[in-house]
Amino acid sequence: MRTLGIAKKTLIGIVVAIIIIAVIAGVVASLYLAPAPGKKKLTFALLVSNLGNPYFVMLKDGAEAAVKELKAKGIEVELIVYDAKDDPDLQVRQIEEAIAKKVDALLINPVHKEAILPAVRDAVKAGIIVITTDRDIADKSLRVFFTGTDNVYGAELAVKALIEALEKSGKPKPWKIVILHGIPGTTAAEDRKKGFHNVLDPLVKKGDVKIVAEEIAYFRRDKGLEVMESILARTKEIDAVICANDEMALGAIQAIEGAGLVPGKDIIVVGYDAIPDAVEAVKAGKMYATIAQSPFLQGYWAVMGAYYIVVKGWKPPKDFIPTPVVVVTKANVGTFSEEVAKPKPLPGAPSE
Amino acid sequence: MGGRSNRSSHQATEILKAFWQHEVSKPFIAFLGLFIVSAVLSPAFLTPYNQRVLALQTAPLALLAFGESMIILMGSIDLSPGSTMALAGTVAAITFVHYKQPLAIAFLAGIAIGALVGFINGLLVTKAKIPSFVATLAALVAGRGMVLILTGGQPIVGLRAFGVLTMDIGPLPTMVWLMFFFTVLNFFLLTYTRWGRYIYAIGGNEEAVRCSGINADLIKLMTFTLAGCYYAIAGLMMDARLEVAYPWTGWGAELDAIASSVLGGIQLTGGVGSPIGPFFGAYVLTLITNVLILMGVNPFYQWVVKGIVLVVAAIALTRGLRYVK
Repeated sequence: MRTLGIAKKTLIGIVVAIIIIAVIAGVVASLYLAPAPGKKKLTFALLVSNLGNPYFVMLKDGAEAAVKELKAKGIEVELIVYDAKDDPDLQVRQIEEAIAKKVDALLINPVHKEAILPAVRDAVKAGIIVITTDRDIADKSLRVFFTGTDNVYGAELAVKALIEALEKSGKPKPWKIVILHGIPGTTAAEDRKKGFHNVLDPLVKKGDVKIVAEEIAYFRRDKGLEVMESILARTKEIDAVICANDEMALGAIQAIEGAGLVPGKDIIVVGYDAIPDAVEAVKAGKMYATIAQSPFLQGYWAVMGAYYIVVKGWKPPKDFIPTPVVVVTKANVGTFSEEVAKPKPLPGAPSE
Repeated sequence: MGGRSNRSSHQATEILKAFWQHEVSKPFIAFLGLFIVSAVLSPAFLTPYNQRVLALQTAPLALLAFGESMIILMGSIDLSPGSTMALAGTVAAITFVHYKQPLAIAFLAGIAIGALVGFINGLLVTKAKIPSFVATLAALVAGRGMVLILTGGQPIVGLRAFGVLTMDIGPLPTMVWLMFFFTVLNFFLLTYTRWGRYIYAIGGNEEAVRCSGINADLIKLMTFTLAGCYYAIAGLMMDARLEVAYPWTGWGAELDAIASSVLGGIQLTGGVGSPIGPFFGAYVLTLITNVLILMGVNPFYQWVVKGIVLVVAAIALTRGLRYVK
């Protein structure tokens, strides 16, 4: 018993000693092996609102392409990608984590334009460069620049495409239109709503258009399907559906087919974002048009901008750098992707 | 004369009393009340198309609610239904599209994954002794992560063949028949089998169950696994409805599943509730959303109205109880 007790104590002593030595060694190593200043490795944190949405996967791809390009130039840079799953609280925690990791720049694709402001303020206080991408934050003084689509402009283009299709179809006026909106409070949803109404409201006044339903489907395909099913239960006299993103539009198409109607003929559908499934739908004639943004460039330009700012002290000439917008219809469905999914130089960037 | 009519009216009150005392009466009356109100408020509500849409929308939620209610009956809680259904739907789609397996194999693969998630939940609760809330929260988060890893965030397309679940057999789509089948199965399982009675017993007094020599851990493990299978079937239904495996399927569905169970008269403290109650709960939840859109209520007001209707339904359910927690 006694020897066992001593053996046990010795064992515990050895374990404790090993742990202490390991901790001390770790601390010493981290102090002495840290890279010399000046040749410091760059770390950027990309905070994506929701990687479940293919659109933001493209944004991430663009950011990673920029990192690869910088690495090819011999610049040491690391990109940490966070997925907030559309949860503002989670995004706040992720920002705090990135601050703790002492990253050089935060490239934020906000879930909510207001909710994350306190965390962003902490980041700015800690001397971290903040850039917003695809969606902006409410306090514009906190970020160096915002790169993204002018969503109001894009939404206006989308509705104009829809009206053009209705004119071509020869359907009698007033055209009965359904609108499906995204998550309330997000910049994209609010701006697109504004863009839709900028074009539609004068037409409603003129009596050319009647808005038969205006619902929220949260940018989601399953919600788009369920909401559109219920709208179709109310009335099947619908000429067109305009959606604030493609996922909802694809859900709506599914509902239209389920109701025994032909999307593209009985009901004209226009989406937004030009995700791969939607491009297929445009090819198949089920969706009349979708708006191609440049999520790839939004990710790419955010990383490039961060690099120029941190390393070269670049000051962007304007604090909003709009990325290109293209209306995708059957006419240009084969060629548009080249226009938007390849690296382009950041406007106003310093020379190498 | 007077005596006979007296007796028949006496019989009628007896029947009414028996019905009222039955556990499913309150959820059924809440359902019936909302159904009638909806029919009065919106002329479009009773159309065959709308009823069909309602049934289609209810089917996956009902399956989730059946699984969830079994867990709640044991006095546990399950937060994983939404993620499990998405994972099962994704695995079935990958098996079918990428590995080119026959439809039956794809369905079985999906259900097997659902069972596996449920089994792991069960192990975490019984063997690792992690409270079900935490164990299934882990499954909720990790399950969704796996869906995103497997799909890369992109929907998996090419699931036309899953349409066997949405095509009509007689007047109704397959998945609606399936919903009825599982309603009956769930009723039979929980009412007439030893397994089912043990589920109630565990929720009522787990200590007593364990003292009487019943392997409560095994019952829990089996029940979590079966619940996982139910969620998986819901996932297959959503695949069929969307004709793609959508990575965001079932996001937030755990709350709908819990709400359906509670609206169906399943008490969160465990041990009390009718096995078919959750069906009515799921139907009521779907119906509220549907009728508000039919009436063209402003989307922001829809949330408020939904909250009020839920409170009213819940008030109706808890009449006659001495206290609730």
